[in-house]
Amino acid sequence: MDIPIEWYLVLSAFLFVIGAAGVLTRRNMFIVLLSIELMMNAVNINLIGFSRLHDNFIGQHFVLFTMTVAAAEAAVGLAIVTSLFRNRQTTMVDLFDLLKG
Amino acid sequence: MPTPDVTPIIPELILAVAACLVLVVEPFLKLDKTAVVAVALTGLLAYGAAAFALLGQDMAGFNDMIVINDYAIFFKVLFAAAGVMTVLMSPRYLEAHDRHLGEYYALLLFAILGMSVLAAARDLMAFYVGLELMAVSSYLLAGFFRYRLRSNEAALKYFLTGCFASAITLYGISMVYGFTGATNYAEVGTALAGGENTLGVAFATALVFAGMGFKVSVAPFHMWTPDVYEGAPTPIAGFFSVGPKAAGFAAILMMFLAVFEASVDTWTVIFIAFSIFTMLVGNLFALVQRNLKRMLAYSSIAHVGYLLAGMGAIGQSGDLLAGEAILLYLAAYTFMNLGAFGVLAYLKTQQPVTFDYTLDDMAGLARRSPWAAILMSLFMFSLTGIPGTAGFIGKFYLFNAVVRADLVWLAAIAVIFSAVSAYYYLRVMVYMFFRESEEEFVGGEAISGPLAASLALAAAGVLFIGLVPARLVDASATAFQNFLGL
Repeated sequence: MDIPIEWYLVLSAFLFVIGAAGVLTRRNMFIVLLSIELMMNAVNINLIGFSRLHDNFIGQHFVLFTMTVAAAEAAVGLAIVTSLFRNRQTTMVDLFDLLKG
Repeated sequence: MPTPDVTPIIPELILAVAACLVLVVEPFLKLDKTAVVAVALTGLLAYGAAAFALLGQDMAGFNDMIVINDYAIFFKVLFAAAGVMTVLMSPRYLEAHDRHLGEYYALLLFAILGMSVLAAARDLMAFYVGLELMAVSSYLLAGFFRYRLRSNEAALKYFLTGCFASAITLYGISMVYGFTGATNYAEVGTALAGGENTLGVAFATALVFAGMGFKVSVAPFHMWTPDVYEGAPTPIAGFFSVGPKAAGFAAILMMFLAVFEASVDTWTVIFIAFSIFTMLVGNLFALVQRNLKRMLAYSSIAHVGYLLAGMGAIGQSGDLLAGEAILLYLAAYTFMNLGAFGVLAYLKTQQPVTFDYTLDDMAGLARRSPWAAILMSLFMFSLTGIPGTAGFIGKFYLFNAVVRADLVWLAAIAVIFSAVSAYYYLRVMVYMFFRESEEEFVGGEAISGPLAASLALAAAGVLFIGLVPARLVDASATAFQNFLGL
Protein backbone atom coordinates (compact mmCIF):
# COMPACT_ATOMS: atom_id res chain seq x y z
CA MET A 1 0.00 0.00 0.00
CA ASP A 2 1.31 3.43 -0.92
CA ILE A 3 1.63 6.16 1.63
CA PRO A 4 -0.44 9.09 0.38
CA ILE A 5 1.44 12.28 -0.50
CA GLU A 6 -0.48 14.28 2.11
CA TRP A 7 1.28 12.44 4.92
CA TYR A 8 4.67 13.54 3.65
CA LEU A 9 3.46 17.10 3.29
CA VAL A 10 1.94 17.27 6.75
CA LEU A 11 5.06 15.81 8.37
CA SER A 12 7.24 18.20 6.42
CA ALA A 13 5.09 21.22 7.26
CA PHE A 14 5.21 20.30 10.96
CA LEU A 15 8.98 19.91 10.92
CA PHE A 16 9.40 23.18 9.05
CA VAL A 17 7.23 25.11 11.50
CA ILE A 18 8.99 23.55 14.50
CA GLY A 19 12.33 24.50 12.97
CA ALA A 20 11.24 28.04 12.18
CA ALA A 21 9.83 28.49 15.69
CA GLY A 22 13.11 27.19 17.08
CA VAL A 23 15.17 29.68 15.10
CA LEU A 24 12.97 32.55 16.19
CA THR A 25 12.60 31.75 19.89
CA ARG A 26 15.57 29.75 21.17
CA ARG A 27 18.56 31.52 22.65
CA ASN A 28 21.22 28.83 22.51
CA MET A 29 23.21 28.97 19.31
CA PHE A 30 23.41 25.18 19.01
CA ILE A 31 19.66 24.75 19.26
CA VAL A 32 19.25 27.44 16.61
CA LEU A 33 21.65 25.54 14.34
CA LEU A 34 19.71 22.34 14.92
CA SER A 35 16.47 24.14 14.14
CA ILE A 36 17.89 25.32 10.82
CA GLU A 37 18.84 21.72 10.02
CA LEU A 38 15.29 20.73 10.87
CA MET A 39 13.94 23.23 8.35
CA MET A 40 16.28 21.91 5.66
CA ASN A 41 15.24 18.34 6.38
CA ALA A 42 11.58 19.29 6.16
CA VAL A 43 12.36 20.45 2.65
CA ASN A 44 14.10 17.15 1.92
CA ILE A 45 11.02 15.18 2.96
CA ASN A 46 8.94 17.41 0.70
CA LEU A 47 11.26 16.83 -2.24
CA ILE A 48 11.38 13.05 -1.79
CA GLY A 49 7.62 12.86 -1.40
CA PHE A 50 7.07 14.88 -4.56
CA SER A 51 9.69 12.81 -6.33
CA ARG A 52 7.56 9.71 -5.66
CA LEU A 53 4.39 11.54 -6.64
CA HIS A 54 5.74 12.68 -9.99
CA ASP A 55 7.64 9.46 -10.49
CA ASN A 56 10.83 11.24 -11.55
CA PHE A 57 14.26 11.56 -9.99
CA ILE A 58 14.66 15.34 -10.00
CA GLY A 59 13.56 15.64 -6.37
CA GLN A 60 16.04 13.02 -5.26
CA HIS A 61 18.86 14.74 -7.12
CA PHE A 62 17.87 17.96 -5.46
CA VAL A 63 18.03 16.35 -2.02
CA LEU A 64 21.64 15.34 -2.62
CA PHE A 65 22.48 18.99 -3.24
CA THR A 66 20.48 20.18 -0.23
CA MET A 67 22.23 17.74 2.06
CA THR A 68 25.66 18.77 0.82
CA VAL A 69 24.82 22.43 1.26
CA ALA A 70 23.39 21.76 4.72
CA ALA A 71 26.65 20.08 5.71
CA ALA A 72 28.66 23.06 4.46
CA GLU A 73 26.36 25.44 6.29
CA ALA A 74 26.70 23.46 9.51
CA ALA A 75 30.49 23.52 9.21
CA VAL A 76 30.51 27.29 8.73
CA GLY A 77 27.97 27.76 11.52
CA LEU A 78 30.05 25.76 13.98
CA ALA A 79 33.18 27.67 12.97
CA ILE A 80 31.39 30.94 13.69
CA VAL A 81 30.16 29.63 17.07
CA THR A 82 33.67 28.53 17.96
CA SER A 83 35.20 31.92 17.25
CA LEU A 84 32.37 33.62 19.13
CA PHE A 85 32.82 31.37 22.12
CA ARG A 86 36.55 32.07 22.20
CA ASN A 87 35.86 35.78 22.49
CA ARG A 88 32.81 35.83 24.70
CA GLN A 89 32.60 32.46 26.54
CA THR A 90 28.91 32.14 25.75
CA THR A 91 26.71 30.66 23.05
CA MET A 92 23.55 32.57 23.93
CA VAL A 93 22.49 34.41 20.82
CA ASP A 94 20.74 37.30 22.55
CA LEU A 95 23.89 38.34 24.41
CA PHE A 96 25.46 39.47 21.15
CA ASP A 97 24.09 42.98 21.04
CA LEU A 98 27.10 45.14 20.26
CA LEU A 99 25.58 46.14 16.94
CA LYS A 100 22.09 47.54 17.22
CA GLY A 101 19.89 46.81 14.23
CA MET B 1 28.97 8.53 -22.71
CA PRO B 2 29.21 11.92 -24.46
CA THR B 3 31.48 14.49 -22.86
CA PRO B 4 29.55 17.54 -21.75
CA ASP B 5 30.20 20.81 -23.54
CA VAL B 6 31.82 23.11 -21.01
CA THR B 7 31.56 26.32 -23.06
CA PRO B 8 28.75 27.80 -20.91
CA ILE B 9 30.86 27.57 -17.77
CA ILE B 10 34.32 28.52 -19.07
CA PRO B 11 34.38 31.82 -17.08
CA GLU B 12 33.28 30.00 -13.95
CA LEU B 13 35.92 27.32 -14.43
CA ILE B 14 38.61 29.99 -14.68
CA LEU B 15 37.38 31.58 -11.49
CA ALA B 16 37.24 28.25 -9.63
CA VAL B 17 40.79 27.41 -10.70
CA ALA B 18 42.00 30.85 -9.61
CA ALA B 19 40.33 30.47 -6.22
CA CYS B 20 41.94 27.06 -5.66
CA LEU B 21 45.28 28.44 -6.87
CA VAL B 22 45.06 31.16 -4.24
CA LEU B 23 44.69 28.47 -1.57
CA VAL B 24 47.66 26.55 -3.01
CA VAL B 25 49.95 29.58 -3.24
CA GLU B 26 49.08 31.02 0.18
CA PRO B 27 50.95 28.50 2.43
CA PHE B 28 54.21 29.15 0.57
CA LEU B 29 54.17 32.85 1.35
CA LYS B 30 55.39 34.45 4.51
CA LEU B 31 54.38 38.03 5.26
CA ASP B 32 54.29 39.39 1.75
CA LYS B 33 51.02 38.36 0.15
CA THR B 34 51.51 40.15 -3.17
CA ALA B 35 51.53 36.86 -5.07
CA VAL B 36 48.10 35.92 -3.73
CA VAL B 37 46.68 39.30 -4.68
CA ALA B 38 48.21 38.93 -8.14
CA VAL B 39 46.68 35.47 -8.62
CA ALA B 40 43.26 36.68 -7.48
CA LEU B 41 43.41 39.72 -9.76
CA THR B 42 44.58 37.69 -12.75
CA GLY B 43 41.80 35.19 -12.13
CA LEU B 44 39.16 37.89 -11.97
CA LEU B 45 40.45 39.64 -15.09
CA ALA B 46 40.63 36.35 -16.99
CA TYR B 47 37.11 35.55 -15.83
CA GLY B 48 35.81 38.90 -17.05
CA ALA B 49 37.74 38.62 -20.31
CA ALA B 50 36.49 35.09 -20.97
CA ALA B 51 32.93 36.24 -20.34
CA PHE B 52 33.47 39.20 -22.66
CA ALA B 53 34.88 36.95 -25.37
CA LEU B 54 31.73 34.83 -25.25
CA LEU B 55 29.53 37.87 -25.92
CA GLY B 56 26.83 37.09 -28.44
CA GLN B 57 26.80 33.39 -27.62
CA ASP B 58 23.49 31.89 -26.67
CA MET B 59 23.68 28.34 -25.50
CA ALA B 60 22.62 26.14 -22.63
CA GLY B 61 24.55 23.32 -21.07
CA PHE B 62 24.31 20.57 -18.46
CA ASN B 63 20.69 19.59 -19.11
CA ASP B 64 19.75 23.25 -19.67
CA MET B 65 20.72 24.00 -16.09
CA ILE B 66 23.06 26.83 -16.92
CA VAL B 67 23.20 29.19 -19.86
CA ILE B 68 25.62 31.59 -21.38
CA ASN B 69 24.00 34.56 -23.07
CA ASP B 70 24.34 38.32 -23.07
CA TYR B 71 22.30 38.57 -19.88
CA ALA B 72 24.59 36.23 -17.94
CA ILE B 73 27.65 37.88 -19.49
CA PHE B 74 26.48 41.37 -18.50
CA PHE B 75 26.41 40.24 -14.88
CA LYS B 76 29.67 38.31 -15.12
CA VAL B 77 31.51 41.40 -16.36
CA LEU B 78 29.84 43.47 -13.63
CA PHE B 79 30.88 40.95 -10.95
CA ALA B 80 34.42 40.89 -12.33
CA ALA B 81 34.57 44.68 -12.03
CA ALA B 82 33.20 44.59 -8.49
CA GLY B 83 35.64 41.82 -7.61
CA VAL B 84 38.64 43.67 -9.01
CA MET B 85 37.74 46.83 -7.10
CA THR B 86 37.24 44.87 -3.86
CA VAL B 87 40.52 42.98 -4.23
CA LEU B 88 42.44 46.17 -4.97
CA MET B 89 41.11 48.02 -1.93
CA SER B 90 41.77 45.11 0.44
CA PRO B 91 45.55 44.58 0.97
CA ARG B 92 46.26 47.87 2.68
CA TYR B 93 43.13 47.62 4.79
CA LEU B 94 43.84 44.06 5.90
CA GLU B 95 47.45 44.92 6.72
CA ALA B 96 46.24 47.73 8.94
CA HIS B 97 44.27 45.10 10.87
CA ASP B 98 47.08 42.50 10.84
CA ARG B 99 44.85 40.02 9.07
CA HIS B 100 46.27 39.88 5.57
CA LEU B 101 45.62 36.24 4.72
CA GLY B 102 45.16 34.47 1.42
CA GLU B 103 41.89 32.79 2.40
CA TYR B 104 40.24 36.17 2.16
CA TYR B 105 40.79 36.30 -1.60
CA ALA B 106 39.83 32.67 -2.08
CA LEU B 107 36.54 33.23 -0.26
CA LEU B 108 35.92 36.36 -2.28
CA LEU B 109 36.45 34.48 -5.54
CA PHE B 110 34.18 31.65 -4.40
CA ALA B 111 31.48 34.17 -3.52
CA ILE B 112 31.78 35.68 -7.01
CA LEU B 113 31.63 32.19 -8.48
CA GLY B 114 28.35 31.62 -6.65
CA MET B 115 26.98 34.95 -7.88
CA SER B 116 28.00 34.07 -11.41
CA VAL B 117 26.17 30.74 -11.26
CA LEU B 118 23.15 32.47 -9.75
CA ALA B 119 22.92 34.89 -12.68
CA ALA B 120 23.36 32.13 -15.26
CA ALA B 121 21.10 29.49 -13.67
CA ARG B 122 18.10 28.27 -15.60
CA ASP B 123 17.19 25.54 -13.16
CA LEU B 124 16.09 25.73 -9.54
CA MET B 125 18.86 23.33 -8.55
CA ALA B 126 21.63 25.43 -10.11
CA PHE B 127 19.98 28.50 -8.64
CA TYR B 128 20.07 27.02 -5.16
CA VAL B 129 23.66 25.84 -5.36
CA GLY B 130 24.79 29.23 -6.67
CA LEU B 131 22.87 31.04 -3.95
CA GLU B 132 24.41 28.93 -1.22
CA LEU B 133 27.95 29.14 -2.57
CA MET B 134 27.60 32.91 -2.53
CA ALA B 135 26.00 32.94 0.92
CA VAL B 136 28.34 30.52 2.72
CA SER B 137 31.43 32.36 1.46
CA SER B 138 29.85 35.64 2.52
CA TYR B 139 29.22 34.47 6.10
CA LEU B 140 32.89 33.65 6.47
CA LEU B 141 34.00 36.93 4.91
CA ALA B 142 31.77 38.89 7.30
CA GLY B 143 33.49 37.21 10.24
CA PHE B 144 36.97 37.41 8.78
CA PHE B 145 38.39 39.47 11.67
CA ARG B 146 37.77 36.64 14.06
CA TYR B 147 39.42 38.31 17.05
CA ARG B 148 37.09 41.26 16.88
CA LEU B 149 33.73 41.03 18.58
CA ARG B 150 31.94 43.16 16.02
CA SER B 151 33.11 41.01 13.15
CA ASN B 152 32.05 37.88 15.06
CA GLU B 153 28.66 39.33 15.68
CA ALA B 154 28.24 40.39 12.06
CA ALA B 155 29.05 36.83 10.95
CA LEU B 156 26.59 35.38 13.46
CA LYS B 157 23.76 37.65 12.41
CA TYR B 158 24.44 37.20 8.72
CA PHE B 159 24.67 33.45 9.13
CA LEU B 160 21.46 33.03 11.12
CA THR B 161 19.30 35.29 8.96
CA GLY B 162 20.91 33.97 5.79
CA CYS B 163 20.33 30.31 6.62
CA PHE B 164 16.80 31.04 7.74
CA ALA B 165 16.13 32.84 4.47
CA SER B 166 17.66 30.05 2.38
CA ALA B 167 15.52 27.47 4.15
CA ILE B 168 12.40 29.53 3.42
CA THR B 169 13.35 29.94 -0.25
CA LEU B 170 14.11 26.24 -0.43
CA TYR B 171 10.71 25.32 1.00
CA GLY B 172 9.09 27.50 -1.66
CA ILE B 173 11.20 25.82 -4.35
CA SER B 174 10.21 22.37 -3.11
CA MET B 175 6.55 23.36 -3.41
CA VAL B 176 7.13 24.65 -6.93
CA TYR B 177 8.65 21.28 -7.77
CA GLY B 178 5.68 19.59 -6.16
CA PHE B 179 3.18 21.49 -8.30
CA THR B 180 5.05 21.02 -11.56
CA GLY B 181 7.30 17.97 -11.28
CA ALA B 182 10.16 19.92 -12.84
CA THR B 183 12.91 22.31 -11.78
CA ASN B 184 13.89 23.74 -15.15
CA TYR B 185 12.67 27.35 -15.39
CA ALA B 186 11.07 26.94 -18.80
CA GLU B 187 9.31 23.69 -17.89
CA VAL B 188 8.13 25.04 -14.55
CA GLY B 189 6.87 28.20 -16.20
CA THR B 190 4.89 26.25 -18.77
CA ALA B 191 3.46 23.93 -16.13
CA LEU B 192 2.47 26.80 -13.83
CA ALA B 193 0.82 28.60 -16.74
CA GLY B 194 -1.63 25.68 -16.75
CA GLY B 195 -3.25 27.56 -13.88
CA GLU B 196 -3.96 24.87 -11.28
CA ASN B 197 -3.33 25.17 -7.52
CA THR B 198 -3.39 28.95 -7.61
CA LEU B 199 -3.42 29.37 -3.83
CA GLY B 200 -0.53 26.96 -3.40
CA VAL B 201 1.44 28.67 -6.15
CA ALA B 202 0.82 32.04 -4.52
CA PHE B 203 2.13 30.61 -1.24
CA ALA B 204 5.25 29.23 -2.93
CA THR B 205 5.79 32.57 -4.67
CA ALA B 206 5.50 34.36 -1.33
CA LEU B 207 8.06 32.01 0.26
CA VAL B 208 10.56 32.50 -2.54
CA PHE B 209 10.00 36.24 -2.45
CA ALA B 210 10.52 36.37 1.32
CA GLY B 211 13.69 34.33 1.11
CA MET B 212 15.14 36.41 -1.70
CA GLY B 213 13.94 39.53 0.10
CA PHE B 214 16.21 38.62 3.01
CA LYS B 215 19.14 38.22 0.62
CA VAL B 216 18.77 41.57 -1.11
CA SER B 217 17.49 43.23 2.12
CA VAL B 218 13.96 44.23 1.26
CA ALA B 219 12.23 45.85 4.25
CA PRO B 220 10.94 44.35 6.57
CA PHE B 221 13.55 41.62 6.02
CA HIS B 222 16.43 44.10 6.23
CA MET B 223 17.28 44.02 9.95
CA TRP B 224 20.60 42.26 9.48
CA THR B 225 21.95 44.69 6.87
CA PRO B 226 23.24 47.61 8.98
CA ASP B 227 24.72 45.31 11.63
CA VAL B 228 26.53 43.15 9.11
CA TYR B 229 27.89 46.12 7.18
CA GLU B 230 29.08 47.76 10.38
CA GLY B 231 30.81 44.66 11.71
CA ALA B 232 32.26 43.24 8.49
CA PRO B 233 35.62 44.40 7.08
CA THR B 234 34.92 47.59 5.10
CA PRO B 235 35.88 46.32 1.61
CA ILE B 236 33.70 43.30 2.26
CA ALA B 237 30.80 45.45 3.42
CA GLY B 238 31.15 47.36 0.16
CA PHE B 239 31.23 44.11 -1.77
CA PHE B 240 28.12 42.84 0.07
CA SER B 241 26.27 46.00 -0.78
CA VAL B 242 26.79 45.56 -4.53
CA GLY B 243 27.70 41.96 -5.46
CA PRO B 244 25.11 39.75 -3.79
CA LYS B 245 22.48 42.44 -4.42
CA ALA B 246 23.16 42.47 -8.16
CA ALA B 247 23.22 38.67 -8.24
CA GLY B 248 20.03 38.56 -6.20
CA PHE B 249 18.28 40.88 -8.64
CA ALA B 250 19.62 38.91 -11.61
CA ALA B 251 17.99 35.83 -10.09
CA ILE B 252 14.80 37.63 -9.04
CA LEU B 253 14.31 39.00 -12.56
CA MET B 254 14.70 35.55 -14.07
CA MET B 255 12.66 33.77 -11.41
CA PHE B 256 9.69 36.04 -11.56
CA LEU B 257 9.65 36.55 -15.31
CA ALA B 258 10.30 32.94 -16.28
CA VAL B 259 9.07 30.77 -13.43
CA PHE B 260 6.24 32.74 -11.88
CA GLU B 261 5.15 34.41 -15.12
CA ALA B 262 1.65 33.01 -14.70
CA SER B 263 1.04 34.83 -11.40
CA VAL B 264 2.37 38.16 -12.69
CA ASP B 265 -0.65 40.15 -11.42
CA THR B 266 -0.14 38.91 -7.87
CA TRP B 267 3.58 39.56 -7.63
CA THR B 268 3.37 42.96 -9.29
CA VAL B 269 1.24 44.16 -6.38
CA ILE B 270 3.62 42.53 -3.89
CA PHE B 271 6.65 44.18 -5.47
CA ILE B 272 5.04 47.62 -5.56
CA ALA B 273 3.90 47.40 -1.93
CA PHE B 274 7.30 46.24 -0.71
CA SER B 275 9.01 48.82 -2.89
CA ILE B 276 7.23 51.68 -1.13
CA PHE B 277 7.89 50.23 2.31
CA THR B 278 11.56 49.56 1.52
CA MET B 279 12.11 53.09 0.20
CA LEU B 280 10.45 54.48 3.32
CA VAL B 281 12.42 52.40 5.82
CA GLY B 282 15.75 52.79 4.03
CA ASN B 283 15.57 56.53 3.62
CA LEU B 284 14.09 57.39 7.02
CA PHE B 285 16.53 55.28 9.02
CA ALA B 286 19.45 56.54 6.95
CA LEU B 287 18.56 60.07 8.04
CA VAL B 288 19.33 59.39 11.69
CA GLN B 289 22.55 57.39 11.30
CA ARG B 290 25.79 58.98 12.44
CA ASN B 291 27.89 55.98 11.52
CA LEU B 292 28.69 56.11 7.82
CA LYS B 293 28.74 52.35 7.30
CA ARG B 294 25.27 52.11 8.80
CA MET B 295 24.13 55.08 6.75
CA LEU B 296 25.36 53.38 3.58
CA ALA B 297 23.63 50.18 4.67
CA TYR B 298 20.29 51.93 5.01
CA SER B 299 20.93 53.81 1.78
CA SER B 300 21.51 50.46 0.06
CA ILE B 301 18.11 49.36 1.38
CA ALA B 302 16.61 52.52 -0.14
CA HIS B 303 18.23 51.70 -3.49
CA VAL B 304 16.73 48.21 -3.32
CA GLY B 305 13.38 49.97 -2.92
CA TYR B 306 13.90 51.85 -6.20
CA LEU B 307 14.89 48.61 -7.93
CA LEU B 308 11.75 46.91 -6.62
CA ALA B 309 9.70 49.74 -8.16
CA GLY B 310 11.36 48.76 -11.44
CA MET B 311 10.26 45.15 -10.88
CA GLY B 312 6.74 46.41 -10.28
CA ALA B 313 6.91 48.32 -13.57
CA ILE B 314 7.95 45.19 -15.47
CA GLY B 315 5.07 43.25 -13.99
CA GLN B 316 2.63 46.07 -14.69
CA SER B 317 3.48 46.71 -18.32
CA GLY B 318 5.69 43.87 -19.50
CA ASP B 319 7.79 46.71 -20.87
CA LEU B 320 11.38 45.84 -21.74
CA LEU B 321 12.49 49.28 -20.69
CA ALA B 322 12.13 48.57 -16.96
CA GLY B 323 14.27 45.45 -17.16
CA GLU B 324 16.98 47.31 -19.02
CA ALA B 325 16.78 50.11 -16.48
CA ILE B 326 17.26 47.65 -13.61
CA LEU B 327 20.42 46.28 -15.23
CA LEU B 328 21.71 49.77 -15.86
CA TYR B 329 20.94 50.84 -12.30
CA LEU B 330 22.74 47.83 -10.85
CA ALA B 331 25.84 48.67 -12.91
CA ALA B 332 25.80 52.32 -11.84
CA TYR B 333 25.19 51.36 -8.23
CA THR B 334 28.12 48.92 -8.20
CA PHE B 335 30.65 51.62 -9.02
CA MET B 336 29.33 54.40 -6.80
CA ASN B 337 28.68 52.36 -3.68
CA LEU B 338 31.88 50.35 -3.83
CA GLY B 339 33.73 53.63 -4.35
CA ALA B 340 32.18 55.14 -1.22
CA PHE B 341 33.20 52.11 0.83
CA GLY B 342 36.66 52.31 -0.73
CA VAL B 343 37.15 55.84 0.58
CA LEU B 344 36.06 54.67 4.03
CA ALA B 345 38.56 51.79 3.83
CA TYR B 346 41.30 54.28 2.96
CA LEU B 347 40.42 56.51 5.92
CA LYS B 348 40.49 53.51 8.24
CA THR B 349 44.01 52.63 7.09
CA GLN B 350 45.11 56.18 7.96
CA GLN B 351 43.79 56.09 11.52
CA PRO B 352 43.36 52.41 12.42
CA VAL B 353 42.50 53.18 16.02
CA THR B 354 40.66 56.47 16.13
CA PHE B 355 38.62 56.36 12.93
CA ASP B 356 35.25 54.85 13.76
CA TYR B 357 33.27 55.67 10.60
CA THR B 358 31.24 58.39 12.30
CA LEU B 359 30.30 61.69 10.74
CA ASP B 360 32.49 63.52 13.25
CA ASP B 361 35.48 61.53 12.03
CA MET B 362 34.87 63.02 8.59
CA ALA B 363 35.15 66.58 9.89
CA GLY B 364 37.88 68.56 8.21
CA LEU B 365 38.69 65.80 5.75
CA ALA B 366 38.90 68.24 2.85
CA ARG B 367 41.83 69.92 4.53
CA ARG B 368 43.88 66.89 5.51
CA SER B 369 43.11 64.62 2.55
CA PRO B 370 41.60 66.62 -0.32
CA TRP B 371 41.56 63.72 -2.78
CA ALA B 372 39.63 61.48 -0.43
CA ALA B 373 37.14 64.29 0.15
CA ILE B 374 36.74 64.96 -3.58
CA LEU B 375 36.23 61.28 -4.39
CA MET B 376 33.78 60.83 -1.52
CA SER B 377 31.86 63.87 -2.79
CA LEU B 378 31.70 62.36 -6.27
CA PHE B 379 30.29 59.10 -4.94
CA MET B 380 27.83 60.92 -2.68
CA PHE B 381 26.68 63.08 -5.62
CA SER B 382 26.22 59.95 -7.64
CA LEU B 383 24.27 58.17 -4.90
CA THR B 384 22.03 61.24 -4.64
CA GLY B 385 21.54 61.22 -8.41
CA ILE B 386 23.08 64.52 -9.46
CA PRO B 387 23.26 64.86 -13.28
CA GLY B 388 26.62 64.00 -14.80
CA THR B 389 27.08 60.98 -12.55
CA ALA B 390 26.14 57.34 -12.93
CA GLY B 391 23.50 57.60 -10.23
CA PHE B 392 21.56 60.14 -12.26
CA ILE B 393 21.52 57.96 -15.38
CA GLY B 394 20.44 54.95 -13.34
CA LYS B 395 17.63 56.80 -11.62
CA PHE B 396 16.56 58.60 -14.79
CA TYR B 397 16.10 55.39 -16.77
CA LEU B 398 14.54 53.53 -13.88
CA PHE B 399 11.98 56.19 -12.93
CA ASN B 400 11.27 56.83 -16.61
CA ALA B 401 10.42 53.14 -17.00
CA VAL B 402 8.17 53.30 -13.94
CA VAL B 403 6.32 56.30 -15.42
CA ARG B 404 5.94 54.53 -18.76
CA ALA B 405 4.30 51.61 -16.94
CA ASP B 406 1.50 53.99 -15.86
CA LEU B 407 2.80 54.07 -12.31
CA VAL B 408 3.33 57.83 -12.19
CA TRP B 409 2.44 57.96 -8.50
CA LEU B 410 5.07 55.35 -7.69
CA ALA B 411 7.70 57.28 -9.63
CA ALA B 412 6.66 60.43 -7.76
CA ILE B 413 7.15 58.66 -4.42
CA ALA B 414 10.57 57.43 -5.55
CA VAL B 415 11.60 60.93 -6.64
CA ILE B 416 10.46 62.40 -3.32
CA PHE B 417 12.48 59.81 -1.42
CA SER B 418 15.49 60.55 -3.65
CA ALA B 419 15.17 64.17 -2.63
CA VAL B 420 15.06 63.12 1.02
CA SER B 421 18.19 61.02 0.48
CA ALA B 422 20.07 64.13 -0.65
CA TYR B 423 20.01 65.25 2.99
CA TYR B 424 22.01 62.37 4.37
CA TYR B 425 24.37 62.08 1.41
CA LEU B 426 25.19 65.77 1.23
CA ARG B 427 25.51 66.01 5.01
CA VAL B 428 28.69 63.93 4.67
CA MET B 429 30.08 66.65 2.41
CA VAL B 430 29.10 69.38 4.82
CA TYR B 431 31.17 67.62 7.47
CA MET B 432 34.10 67.06 5.12
CA PHE B 433 34.30 70.61 3.79
CA PHE B 434 32.80 72.94 6.36
CA ARG B 435 33.54 71.45 9.78
CA GLU B 436 36.86 71.58 11.51
CA SER B 437 38.27 68.48 13.10
CA GLU B 438 38.36 68.69 16.89
CA GLU B 439 41.58 66.80 17.43
CA GLU B 440 44.83 67.53 15.69
CA PHE B 441 45.56 65.07 12.93
CA VAL B 442 49.14 63.94 12.45
CA GLY B 443 50.82 62.28 9.51
CA GLY B 444 48.75 60.41 6.97
CA GLU B 445 49.82 59.33 3.54
CA ALA B 446 48.28 60.06 0.17
CA ILE B 447 46.01 57.53 -1.50
CA SER B 448 48.39 55.25 -3.32
CA GLY B 449 49.01 51.76 -4.66
CA PRO B 450 46.21 49.30 -5.32
CA LEU B 451 43.72 51.32 -3.28
CA ALA B 452 44.25 54.30 -5.57
CA ALA B 453 43.68 52.06 -8.60
CA SER B 454 40.48 50.78 -7.06
CA LEU B 455 39.13 54.25 -6.33
CA ALA B 456 40.20 55.46 -9.78
CA LEU B 457 38.30 52.57 -11.33
CA ALA B 458 35.18 53.37 -9.31
CA ALA B 459 35.40 57.07 -10.11
CA ALA B 460 36.01 56.35 -13.79
CA GLY B 461 32.99 54.05 -13.81
CA VAL B 462 30.79 56.68 -12.17
CA LEU B 463 31.88 59.41 -14.60
CA PHE B 464 31.86 57.17 -17.67
CA ILE B 465 28.32 55.94 -17.05
CA GLY B 466 27.29 59.44 -16.07
CA LEU B 467 28.70 61.31 -19.05
CA VAL B 468 28.63 58.77 -21.90
CA PRO B 469 25.89 56.35 -20.92
CA ALA B 470 25.01 55.24 -24.45
CA ARG B 471 27.27 52.19 -24.53
CA LEU B 472 26.08 50.79 -21.25
CA VAL B 473 22.46 51.53 -22.11
CA ASP B 474 22.90 49.55 -25.33
CA ALA B 475 24.63 46.74 -23.47
CA SER B 476 21.89 46.42 -20.86
CA ALA B 477 19.23 46.61 -23.57
CA THR B 478 20.77 43.75 -25.57
CA ALA B 479 21.35 41.79 -22.38
CA PHE B 480 17.79 42.06 -21.23
CA GLN B 481 16.15 41.43 -24.61
CA ASN B 482 18.36 38.43 -25.03
CA PHE B 483 17.25 37.14 -21.66
CA LEU B 484 13.57 37.43 -22.51
CA GLY B 485 14.12 35.25 -25.56
CA LEU B 486 15.02 32.49 -23.06
